[in-house]
Amino acid sequence: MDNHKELEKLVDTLMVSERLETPSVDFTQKVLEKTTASISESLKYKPLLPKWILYLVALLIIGFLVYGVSLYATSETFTNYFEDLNEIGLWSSGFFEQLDFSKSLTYTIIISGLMICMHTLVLKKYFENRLT
Amino acid sequence: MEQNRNQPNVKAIQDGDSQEFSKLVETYKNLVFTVAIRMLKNTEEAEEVAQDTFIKVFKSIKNFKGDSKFSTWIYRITYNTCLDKLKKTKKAQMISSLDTITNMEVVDLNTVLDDIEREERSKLLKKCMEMLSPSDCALLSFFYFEEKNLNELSKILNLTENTIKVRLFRARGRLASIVKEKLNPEIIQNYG
Repeated sequence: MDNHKELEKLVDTLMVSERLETPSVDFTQKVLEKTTASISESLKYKPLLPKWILYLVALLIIGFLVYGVSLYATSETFTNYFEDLNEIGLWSSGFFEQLDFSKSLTYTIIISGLMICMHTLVLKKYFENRLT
Repeated sequence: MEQNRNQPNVKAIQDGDSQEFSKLVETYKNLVFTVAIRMLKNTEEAEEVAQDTFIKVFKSIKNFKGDSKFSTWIYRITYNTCLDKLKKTKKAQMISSLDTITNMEVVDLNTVLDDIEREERSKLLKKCMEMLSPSDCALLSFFYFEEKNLNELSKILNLTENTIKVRLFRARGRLASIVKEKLNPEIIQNYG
């Protein structure tokens, strides 16, 4: 137990005289520069999927299309395809003709659209100021 | 060991106040750098690790919930960053073959140290710390930085208080052996 106390006293005496080391003069400046760099790094646009995956997906789609077309492509199927497209066009034009918007609904949609645009601009400005 | 504890405003830093963050760096840079240099024994590496520590502090300050003292939280990050660096550089832990020190020898050393001037003691401590293992250096430094608070120390090192007590005793013993080695035997005899 005496040994404990004597040792403690010895180290206490030594540690009391400990001088703190000082880093370089521009230490704080360097840290701030690094933190600023890390912020701008984190704000950089990073696509969710890497480019090679996008290219791979595009290649696969093109591959399937080419494969499908090469299997079934005859002059008859192409004619049917254009006829189908025409029918969809006719149906959609008829559908929109049936719709009848009241004036108040039209104004509401226009005003809502304008409000969304304005909010988008305000939010864009806010985040630009906050993050830069 | 004195340090100006002009406490930075943690809430402001969490809100992105860089002015307050620079105040934080100014407040803790010497403490962090001292621990880093004691553990790594290299000025350049210590400076690099100290900078990394503050960047980690900046990035994770939003997670600081105030469960422990702010200084404890920073020291914990410092300690872990130093350990990571030691692992990366694969620096061998300094385990010098030390003689065991008797109680009489410790008493003699105490008498000698009492008579040595503070400046000399400081130089001696610096030399002895260079020979201690990184974990012993960290343990002793944090123990005195945290005003001998074992509870805070256990949070920094992630150890139980009893383990810390045992390790402290061993570290003190090792430091005393190094002091004995470093001090000229004649001086010890003259004083003892």
